Amino acid sequence: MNFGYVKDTAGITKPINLDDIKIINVTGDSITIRYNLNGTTNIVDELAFFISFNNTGGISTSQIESQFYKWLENALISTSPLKASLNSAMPQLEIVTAGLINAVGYRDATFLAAVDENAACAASPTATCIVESEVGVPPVGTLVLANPSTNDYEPIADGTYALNILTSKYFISLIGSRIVQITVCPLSLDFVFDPNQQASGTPSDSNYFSLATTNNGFFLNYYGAFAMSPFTGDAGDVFMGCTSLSSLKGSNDRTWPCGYIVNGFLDAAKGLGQLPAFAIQLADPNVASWNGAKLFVSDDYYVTGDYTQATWVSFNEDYWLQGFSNFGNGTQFPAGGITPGVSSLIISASIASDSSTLQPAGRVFTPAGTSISGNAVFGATQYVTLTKTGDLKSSSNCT
Amino acid sequence: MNKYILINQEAKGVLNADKVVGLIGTHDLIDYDVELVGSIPSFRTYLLDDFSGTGALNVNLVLSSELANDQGKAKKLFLDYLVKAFEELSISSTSTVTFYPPKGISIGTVSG
Repeated sequence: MNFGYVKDTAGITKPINLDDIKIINVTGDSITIRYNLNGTTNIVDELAFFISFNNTGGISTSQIESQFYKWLENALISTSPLKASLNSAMPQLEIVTAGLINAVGYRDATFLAAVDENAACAASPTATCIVESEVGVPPVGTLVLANPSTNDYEPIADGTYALNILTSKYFISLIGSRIVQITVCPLSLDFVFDPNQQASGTPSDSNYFSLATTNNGFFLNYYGAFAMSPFTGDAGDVFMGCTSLSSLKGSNDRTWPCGYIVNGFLDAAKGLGQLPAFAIQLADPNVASWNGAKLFVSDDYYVTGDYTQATWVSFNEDYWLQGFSNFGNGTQFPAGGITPGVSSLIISASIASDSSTLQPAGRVFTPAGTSISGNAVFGATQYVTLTKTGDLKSSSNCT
Repeated sequence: MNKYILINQEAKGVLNADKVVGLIGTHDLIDYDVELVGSIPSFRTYLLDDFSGTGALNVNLVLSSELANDQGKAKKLFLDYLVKAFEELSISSTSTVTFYPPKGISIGTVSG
């Protein structure tokens, strides 16, 4: 039994097994101790005890390597845990983390330096990182490592940053690459679409955000709309083709909910007035692109009509998994069951058209408009692909 | 020869509570950690032949109400106590030491 010891910036000391080491990789900001000969370029989910550090003493990689092997020699013959401390042997290094990295233990995120909360919450971080936290708001003490390229994990300099995890944005302070303070940013939205502003025979253009699927049979029975003709367009991909745009707001529009409302199939008796509203957060509020934008839904927006007071959640597979098999309040087909439900748009793998990205059959139609938060301007209606994550992609206005 | 850390269910000093509920073999041990996911934190070990995902040994930690409100503190306390047991074992001529969790933490379900 031969162990060394290493203490990270969270103050936690870990033993390092010195008995079955196969390979040691040293860089300017990390030491990787490998216990097998496989995957020697990979760190995540490998037998790789990864030690990441800030090189505060500015010593060279060869010096780090030399000091490490000297420590290893001593640790293998030492009977004192104190003498087997890597920190003591390498005082020029501030060790931020030590241990295996498993993919189930962290989330991917992005970060960007920010001087204060306002700047952080308005920023669009692009530098990739990993956050050692699996759910919710990362607690104080959470490790954050930059991940500039595959298998490269580096400490982040002390300072304040914007941190983006999925659809949530935070203002954080880092010391020793660990969160010492974190503030949740309010959700920043670019567009809000309220279907309750539609009326039979009278479309509200700016709110004409409507959903469809690539399968033209799915919406036929919605709200008892048996008499409706199929949405016209190219056979087989009726909701994907450019001709579908010209059918919006017309008598054959069976997109949900707007097509049903303007054609008189979805009235107050069936939920109009309390229908859920949708909102979109652009990838960049100053760039007019739906690609990478995130879709949200609110079941209480209709109460005040104020998006800052409404509760917004991502319209994604998690929304469905939470039990929203349909679209929200006021959307249950009176006869029982709605086809399609959220699962058809977001989850269904059987009608997936892009298995590599788990892209389901969902499509959304977005109206022209100007961002609330930025200066992005969309001049025309577009159709956009909806993915499981709630992200939008592959937008087109067919021009 | 392998050496073992025996895991006692309760903290030292808890009356009539000397009960070993699991062990950690050190020969193949590569890493361990306390994962803070959900309301019940879990202690996991990672071995040479079982090192990814949920770990080899999975021990649910039962926290006092005070520590339940500060799981980060509970994690650090638990790992601080464990590494002391580790250090004790490394300089001991015996093959086992008993690890007692800190006060406020007891060992719940042990699986692996």
